[in-house]
Amino acid sequence: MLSYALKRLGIAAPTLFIVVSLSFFLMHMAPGGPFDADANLEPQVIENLKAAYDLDKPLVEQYIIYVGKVFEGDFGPSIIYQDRSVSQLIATGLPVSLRVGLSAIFIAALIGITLGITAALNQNKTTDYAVMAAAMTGIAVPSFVLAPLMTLIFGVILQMLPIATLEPSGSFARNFPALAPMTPYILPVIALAIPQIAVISRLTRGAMIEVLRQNYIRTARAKGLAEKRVVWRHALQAGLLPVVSYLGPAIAGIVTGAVVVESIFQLPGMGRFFIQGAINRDYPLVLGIVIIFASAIIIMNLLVDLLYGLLDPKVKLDA
Amino acid sequence: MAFFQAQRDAQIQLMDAAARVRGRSLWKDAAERFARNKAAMTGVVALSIIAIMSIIGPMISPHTLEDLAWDAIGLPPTFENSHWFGTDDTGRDMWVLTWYGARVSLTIGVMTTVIALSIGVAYGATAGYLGGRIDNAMMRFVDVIYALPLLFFIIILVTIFGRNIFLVFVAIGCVEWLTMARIVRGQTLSVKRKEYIEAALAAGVKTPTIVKRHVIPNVIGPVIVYVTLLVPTNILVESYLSFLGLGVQEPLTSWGVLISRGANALETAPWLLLIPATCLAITMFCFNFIGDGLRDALDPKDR
Amino acid sequence: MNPIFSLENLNVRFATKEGEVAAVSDLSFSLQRGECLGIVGESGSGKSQTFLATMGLLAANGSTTGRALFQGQDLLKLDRDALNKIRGDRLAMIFQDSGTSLTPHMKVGDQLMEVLTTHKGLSVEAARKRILEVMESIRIPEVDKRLSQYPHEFSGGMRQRVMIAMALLCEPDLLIADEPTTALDVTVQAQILQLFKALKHHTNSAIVLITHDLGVVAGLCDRVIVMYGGRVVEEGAVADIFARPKHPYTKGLLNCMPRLDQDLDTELQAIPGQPPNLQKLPPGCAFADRCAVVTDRCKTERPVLRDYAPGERAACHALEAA
Repeated sequence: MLSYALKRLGIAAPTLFIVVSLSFFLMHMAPGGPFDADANLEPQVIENLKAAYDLDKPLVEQYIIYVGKVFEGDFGPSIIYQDRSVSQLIATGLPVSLRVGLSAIFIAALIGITLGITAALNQNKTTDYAVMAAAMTGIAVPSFVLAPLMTLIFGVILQMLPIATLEPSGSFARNFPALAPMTPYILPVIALAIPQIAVISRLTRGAMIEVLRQNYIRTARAKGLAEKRVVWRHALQAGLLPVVSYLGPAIAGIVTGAVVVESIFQLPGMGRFFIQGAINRDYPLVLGIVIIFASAIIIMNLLVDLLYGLLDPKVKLDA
Repeated sequence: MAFFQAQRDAQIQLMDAAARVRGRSLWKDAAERFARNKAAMTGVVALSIIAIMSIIGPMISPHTLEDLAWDAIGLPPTFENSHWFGTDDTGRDMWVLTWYGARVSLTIGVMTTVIALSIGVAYGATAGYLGGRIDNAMMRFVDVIYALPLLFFIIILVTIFGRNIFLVFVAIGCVEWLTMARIVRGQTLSVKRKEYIEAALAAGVKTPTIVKRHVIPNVIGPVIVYVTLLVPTNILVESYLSFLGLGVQEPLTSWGVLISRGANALETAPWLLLIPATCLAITMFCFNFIGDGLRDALDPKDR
Repeated sequence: MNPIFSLENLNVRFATKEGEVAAVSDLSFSLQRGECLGIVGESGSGKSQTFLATMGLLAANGSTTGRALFQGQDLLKLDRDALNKIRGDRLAMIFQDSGTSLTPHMKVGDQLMEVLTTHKGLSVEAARKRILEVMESIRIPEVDKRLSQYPHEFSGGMRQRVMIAMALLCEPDLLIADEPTTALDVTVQAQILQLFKALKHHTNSAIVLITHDLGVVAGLCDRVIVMYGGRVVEEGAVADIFARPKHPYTKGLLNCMPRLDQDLDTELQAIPGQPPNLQKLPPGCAFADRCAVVTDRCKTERPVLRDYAPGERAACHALEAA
């Protein structure tokens, strides 16, 4: 198990390095810099600005300086948010994004797996068809359609939940004061989780149906075990393996989805900074956020791999 | 010697004949199963209607893309003045916009898939065919970039090189080939190990014939299924980019652009979001139904 | 003496898109305590489905009619809870292909343990003692270490032993073994068969041995039933069937079995043709297309099982004519 974990770590570290390098060189291959749009600036001012941001040095030197600073946690100054460093922006945005993203992945896994198992145990019955129809809808309606619709219904029409603010408001917060601090996050989390719930429930259903058809399930039933024990002890663990494998891409999906959802709900998270940075060519900001996002995804993938190792006894030998 | 030669020829002919019979009935069976699948056939019909409308839709309407109806700004869907889908906040006709958007979205979906397909098939087949250490290295590379938030790279590419529709094509295509490569490599590997390939080789069937008769028919099924799922994925990616203002730029339009504009006017003019969103959702449904139908038709183990 | 188990007109049907499949038709036989019955037939002859139906393990699209009486209870009428009290306890089944028949993510010890905790309510300690006892009796070495391993760490033969141990834990009254040696090497096969022989001598259980291998039957069983196309075509004592097979299909099976007492020059004769299509069984004898002594009557009228001597039955028009 330990060597397996180390092996996974051995893949994760170079991946992160590739991300940093690839993003850096891509960004600097760009024709035109961040100050080109400002035609009002004197040439001398632009030169000074470039010098301040190390943009006048050769590319390789800039790269080495940059990587060195990243190791110290310094992503450089932001260009559009003046007087604030990228690290400061990340420090304000990351907690918001983490809260939304982790809640979404947790809820998606919980609901998706439950729905998938329910559907599999009722294969070709009404429950199954209902769950699968709902899942199909969840896949067909992307989060950037869902989010505005939910804003309209729950925020504007029903006045239940706050929109575009981190301040609790709306009837839900008044009726359940204990849950009030959560209210600004409810809609974003749901908008992010729904497409993943759809995918996870379909995956779980397919895997569980496959597993329930296995010979060892027949053996378990032949032993006279209660159906509950057959499902939970003999089937579930193998049925969850494909779902666990999918958690990696699911996390990437939630991170990308977060960019849109944060924009729509105007949450001050990493996604919004990222879009602002991308549109305004704020290289240090975009680079910094890509590195943080990629690290988050890589770390989560590492955890997912370890979880897989725990669920599948064969992995121990393969490592 | 002549005897062995004759026997071998007979063997080859037999195997060829067997492959042809099997091949033909396999595809015929699959087509029949597909035609019996109601959801999939509904998908085919609905998708055809959307595709046809994307071509002739704008022609039916008396309005054009450039027309700005100053007297009919923000009009809900109506039969008056032939604004069947209403007008947007600048007085443009939504019917025309929606079908123009369909044209762009569908084209991007298909073109990016073609790019992803070419790269993926070439890469996966090479890895699977060569095998061994090269295969290992090539697939490890895929594993590594698989874990990355690739949409961000599209965003970076798009921001750097300008927001140009061709770049969107290429960027999406260049990023979405990974799964395709995995599928093709897996199939190639498994086909390569099959006994009937060894038998064909032993009987002296030539490599191009083996590839044509045995490898392609076996690889093509999963690839077709994946293609039907990749087209809608790529349409979504484009919509996502356009929604963020990073994809298709005005005056050109796509469903993503329309949804983005509609989302901003949701409280006053909900149809601006609902119409393109519904079209997008229907398209997603259709492709998914067709993909599921194809999978069931080509791999009938779930019957 | 009352039989411990008897089937009365068992029918097993599967509903498929292409129509109904008749896996087992009008099957009746009975089994005494202490008896070892061999069920022989090709794949698709319905021999496995018969007992999966009895155990309540048919696929979802399967249905049954008739009765399967086990110690006076009709197993086919029991609900799942009632059936769960019997199967694994008084009625146990050993499956072929031990490689896929053990849960891959559970320790072997736990998989054995749960049988005893479910049926006998034993404490972990008592259960462990019983497991060690059974595992020793079927000669599994290093039991302590083995119990905390996973199935993939076992060899094929060892896995099959575990399957057997699992079935023996509660000392069942009826033990059904579905091709217990098929997936194994010849030497391991011999060991497992040896095990069954010992088992037969030491317990009073009735044993049903499902196989396509007449050699296995010869060594172990008292009585044998030959199945074809979902029906019994011949039944009798093992010695009688080997000495005087009645049905042409049984004769065919014996002819394609290599024998030590034969000249090496004697060619083995395969039965020509294919097993019948269970979706479209012919109105007459299912074996008619492959039979050497076929008559017109065989193609239109199904032969019924007739007694030819006490305990000897066969279904063939040719026999009636003789």
